Amino acid sequence: MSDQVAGASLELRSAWLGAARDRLVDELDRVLGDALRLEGRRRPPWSEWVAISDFDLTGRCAGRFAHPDPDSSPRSATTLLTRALAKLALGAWDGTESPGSALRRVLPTITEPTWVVDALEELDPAARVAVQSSAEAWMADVLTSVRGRRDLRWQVARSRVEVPGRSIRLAAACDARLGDPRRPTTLLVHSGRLPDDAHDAVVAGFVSLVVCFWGRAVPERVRLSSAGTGIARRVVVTPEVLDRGVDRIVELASHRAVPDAAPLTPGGWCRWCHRLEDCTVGRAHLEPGA
Amino acid sequence: MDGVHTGPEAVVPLAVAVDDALASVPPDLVDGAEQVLSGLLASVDDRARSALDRVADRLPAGVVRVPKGRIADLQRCERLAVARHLRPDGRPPGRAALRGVALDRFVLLAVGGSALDEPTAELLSVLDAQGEESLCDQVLAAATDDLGVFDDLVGPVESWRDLPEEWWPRLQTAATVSLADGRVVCSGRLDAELGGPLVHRAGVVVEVKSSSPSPAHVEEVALYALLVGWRDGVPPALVVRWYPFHGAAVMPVDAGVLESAATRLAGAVEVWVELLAGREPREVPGPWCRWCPDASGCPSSTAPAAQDAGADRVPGQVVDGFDDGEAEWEPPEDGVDT
Repeated sequence: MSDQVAGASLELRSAWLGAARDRLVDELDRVLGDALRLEGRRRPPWSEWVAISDFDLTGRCAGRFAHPDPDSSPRSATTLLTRALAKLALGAWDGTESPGSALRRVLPTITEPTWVVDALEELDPAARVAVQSSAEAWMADVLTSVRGRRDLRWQVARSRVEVPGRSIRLAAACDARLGDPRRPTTLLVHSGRLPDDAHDAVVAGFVSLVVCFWGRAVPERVRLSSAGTGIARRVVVTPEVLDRGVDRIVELASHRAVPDAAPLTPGGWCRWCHRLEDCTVGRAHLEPGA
Repeated sequence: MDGVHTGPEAVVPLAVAVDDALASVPPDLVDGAEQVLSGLLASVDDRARSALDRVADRLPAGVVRVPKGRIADLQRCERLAVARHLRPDGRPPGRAALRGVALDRFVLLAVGGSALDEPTAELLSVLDAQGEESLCDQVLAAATDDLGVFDDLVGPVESWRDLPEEWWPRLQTAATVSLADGRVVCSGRLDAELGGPLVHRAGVVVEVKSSSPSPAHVEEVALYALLVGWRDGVPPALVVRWYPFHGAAVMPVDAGVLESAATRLAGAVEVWVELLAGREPREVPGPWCRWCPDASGCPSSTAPAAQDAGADRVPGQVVDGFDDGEAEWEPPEDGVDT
């Protein structure tokens, strides 16, 4: 995870952040008009807000995103717990001990976040071992990607932002950062997503904007590492990269604003889609011989 | 290349078997293996690109996935591979596959220091925590039919306890290679890893097998050695197949192991790409016909080769010396993505 390439100045990155925030508001005004606009002081219930997260960025069927499954969350509680435990342990890792040792050392000391404490208390011993084992595997994988680097600040909490004037919530996670939290130099995102130049820029732009939305500046760069590959690639944050993130937010929000206009894209994902029963395109795709 | 079995005395701690084997691996063997890695990646990548280019006008959009189960089936019979992976019927895993699922989780509990007093209950807890609701239902159904269906797996798993902490034992890790600019992906989920570059010790990959030893298992661990080598930049020194009733079979990783695995992977990619592009699959009768979803409509399934092998075998049953392909449960997320 070499970060030797000089990034843009803090002043420039601060200006880019302001411009990206303004552009997001302007583009939503242009594309959505009054749809999803917050009126006066009345706030709709959470269920009526449009949630756009980093999990939604690379979905290939707009129709599926436009009609979300009310019974599913993008990630299971266990996955979130696993990641949180792993990052708490990585924050205390001494550089030589095994992931299991670090985790066992940290577990009795965890008092925050309270949802982690509560979730752990709900697990029986066997389930707890399973969660710890997953956390250790994730730790080893991310350490492989960053080659054992120790100066990273691991981030347990996801960043959440309400778009000004709209009932739109954005959520993103960076797994670690370098630099001040309000003006980081590098954000690290470790996921199962494989390298893809087009999507990498969208993810980097989105995560930079959401994580730093109310901070002072966007990061100089985003490091994206792919689970199981040992590969990490760098996306230098520029106005163009931020535009990619803004454009994707506007595109996804427009699908939710007019769900039935969202195009359907069939693929392997149709097999697991909650809309399959009502989707002729998906069913046709899965017909034998299709 | 079948490795060395420690024999039926499976209670030999895995740590001892691994330690003994590592002591006899010559350093130049690992060095030689490391040196071929980049060349093999370039070669497989080149063959994947060529395969894609040959059928570019007929290939559906999307990523071509070739996980280990698909590669194994392609080597058995193309029609079997298509039936199982291109048109999966969503059937739940059979009894043998469920025992494989259980064994993996029992290993997890033993490595994590948990008691295995009530195996089925503890298995359900782990599966529930892992979000495997469908498998929970299958386990409950199997346990309803046979209360002690998993109990015999518990004793052998004791040999996994007390793995040295300095080996960084870690379970269910991922090793993935992205080929042809991400258009082809081969991913593996390793049952256990020990050592490796981060630990500054020789790496070891352990594959847990609930069925009897089979040549196909050797090819699986060789593929894992290749994927780990590409992931870490250094191949593991050893790959181990661990069987609850046959002990550990260890195999040093040399350049030949990696070269063979790369050749099989490239061949599987070429064949799978052709099949995705619409080529009719070739049929090869064999014992796999017994668990092939297409068997009822496939003329080859009545051929002598399909009828003779394992004729006294009940589908799903684990039989010594029989390559039980049904014992591989490929999770949905490894499914075809086209």
